[in-house]
Amino acid sequence: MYFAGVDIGSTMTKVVIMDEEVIASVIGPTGAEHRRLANRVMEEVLRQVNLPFDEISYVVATGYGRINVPFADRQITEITCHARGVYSLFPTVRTAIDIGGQDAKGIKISNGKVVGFVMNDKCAAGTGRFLEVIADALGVRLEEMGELSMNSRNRAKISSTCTIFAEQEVVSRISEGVSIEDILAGLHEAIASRVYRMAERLKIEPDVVLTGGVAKNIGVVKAMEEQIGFPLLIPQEPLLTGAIGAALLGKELTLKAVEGGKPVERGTRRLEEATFFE
Amino acid sequence: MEQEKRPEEVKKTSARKWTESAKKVRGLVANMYLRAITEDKPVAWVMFTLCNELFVAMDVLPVYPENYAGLCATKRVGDPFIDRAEADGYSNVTCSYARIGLGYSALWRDTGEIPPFAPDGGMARPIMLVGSSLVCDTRYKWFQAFSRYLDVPYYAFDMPGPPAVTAHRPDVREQYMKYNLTQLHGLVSFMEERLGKKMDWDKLDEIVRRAEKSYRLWYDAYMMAGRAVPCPFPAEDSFRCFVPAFFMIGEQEALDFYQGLYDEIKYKVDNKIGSLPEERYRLLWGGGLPPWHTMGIFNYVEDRGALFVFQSVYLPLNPADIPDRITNPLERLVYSRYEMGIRRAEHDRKLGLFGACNFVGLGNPLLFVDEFKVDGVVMHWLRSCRGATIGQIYQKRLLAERSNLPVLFVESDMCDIRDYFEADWKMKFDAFLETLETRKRAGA
Ligand code: SF4
Repeated sequence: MYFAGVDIGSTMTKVVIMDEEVIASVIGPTGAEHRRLANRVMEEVLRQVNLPFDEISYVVATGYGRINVPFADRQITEITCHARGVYSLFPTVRTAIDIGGQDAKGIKISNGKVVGFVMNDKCAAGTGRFLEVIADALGVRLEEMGELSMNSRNRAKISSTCTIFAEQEVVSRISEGVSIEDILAGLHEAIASRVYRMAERLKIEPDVVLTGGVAKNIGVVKAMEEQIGFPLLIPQEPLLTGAIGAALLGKELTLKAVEGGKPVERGTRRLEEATFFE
Repeated sequence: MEQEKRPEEVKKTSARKWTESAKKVRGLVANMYLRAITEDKPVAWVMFTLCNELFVAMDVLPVYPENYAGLCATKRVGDPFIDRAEADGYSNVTCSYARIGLGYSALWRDTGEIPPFAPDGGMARPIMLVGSSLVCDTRYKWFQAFSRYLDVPYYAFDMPGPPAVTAHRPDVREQYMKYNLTQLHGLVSFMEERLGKKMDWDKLDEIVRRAEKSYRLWYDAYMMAGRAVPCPFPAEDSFRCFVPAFFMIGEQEALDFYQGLYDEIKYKVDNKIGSLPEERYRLLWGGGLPPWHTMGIFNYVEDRGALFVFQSVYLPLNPADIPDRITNPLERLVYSRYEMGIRRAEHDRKLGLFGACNFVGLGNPLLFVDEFKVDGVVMHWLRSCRGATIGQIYQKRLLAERSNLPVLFVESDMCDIRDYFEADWKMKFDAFLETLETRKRAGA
């Protein structure tokens, strides 16, 4: 049996297909606000493994765009899915921190179950968007920010965590002659401290797993480790944990129904564009 | 021009009402504003400051700008007032109750008329403004600014709460009572001067005793409803039914209202009539004023099997047993306010805490979670109200340590819709309910 997890985030859509393990995955852009092209990402992943859509036993959608996915059997929030996905990769996890494109969240996990969570709201500070804006202002590529910052000798102090003010602060640091490496290191510290303060409301306990696109930035990872005081665990592909969790939860639901001799409750699936709003 | 800006039509955002009593509140509120405009009686703009009885006794019609701000938010017509206040330089983190009232006053001053889109005919022109130090820092300056916009005299008095740690000491109590009494006498003198007539103390006595009865019914009804399984009176109804107690107390109508509420809840509790067919999860609204702009969000949660069985924000005053020897109505008033304060402090002491309840607008959620069989607690961070937001993290920690209950934080504002993000709220509620379901299955 095959199971799919579809995680429609604000900027990226992630889809995985699993049987016993992940057999295929695709990460693609989500698309414009009202037309979520999750179906295209799904088609692409099916092509990879040469499977017709009907062969997928169960599809769970998660992420901000999960509500109106016409080809999903069920929606489960990204909190539950992330926790499940992270737990499957790191069974010792107690705290998961996810820094995505437009939000950041902390999840407290006990034996694989969510016991509490916190999220930032509506504010780009402490998210990937913050780094994107600053990368643009500095003229560096997003992917090289982490490595560059590792060469910093004298980390700049970026006191503002507001994206707009930080952008201005960065510009004035440049004019003061501060090196890009030092500015980046300062920015990573600013984002790490903001996310740390948010997650600390849950009382961070090891093991801590960091996921989301920002987990690919070594500068932020190091700054977070400094704040938290112990090393972080990072999945091989930190963007996929939500989709993996979604697929696993779909699998559990299916197997439970089969074991109980009950029919699997599926949605009326149409492999079409998702709409964002109800 | 500013004053011509009109709010756009918006979809209905209020919550469904579960009790007949809750359905009556809208009419009472509408009448409160209408009579102030149409009746030939003096009007005072008053802060919630626990002395409505004095206005009733002096035949003054009180109008409460904080209630009016909530009304504007529920009707989603607060924006032009907020914009006008911000145009005068008020920051977007100044209390949105204050911003709505200040914008209203500024627009009135601009045109010499009540803003045409003001709901319920608007707040009538006052002859006096009355406020106190009770509750939060915004209040010191808020009415002073009204006074400048409207050119109406403002009387501010002090009303300190009992100190958390020493409130039970007779000498402390005596000193506080004396001080508060002096402050209220000052208010009476101010009113007498403005109105050119003397206080009728016998009438005040009758009104104070009527208010005491109303307070007791209010308290008993709310507590009875919170304990009941199934619960017939969810938080969105109780967020309506506090209105007569806050803004009409001392009036016969308020007493009749609470008698009706008590009877209705008692009947439903005795007959096990709840709100939902199945209360899968019982929630406590454990901090922060509600989102007046989107009360329908409570229904979203209910449609998923969860009911807010209580809110610990607009807590009924603990009814005090006032000793017979206290016959002066002002003393009775002060005594009951002091008692209310020390009861909260006593609860804290029993829990081994000091001052945990002394955050404004926060009853300690710990007091209710066991008795009301609560599965989870939701707290609302308000961008423009520090008074009801401060202390929430501390309360959450206490809940985690002492009851192991999950807490959800949602963020927005009581009136400023710009701080509300519906998709985010729904996602958080969904995730919270999934968490509660997992706990339930695991038998936590
Ligand atoms: S307690 Fe909050 S809502 Fe009330 S006046 Fe103060 S800031 Fe405004």
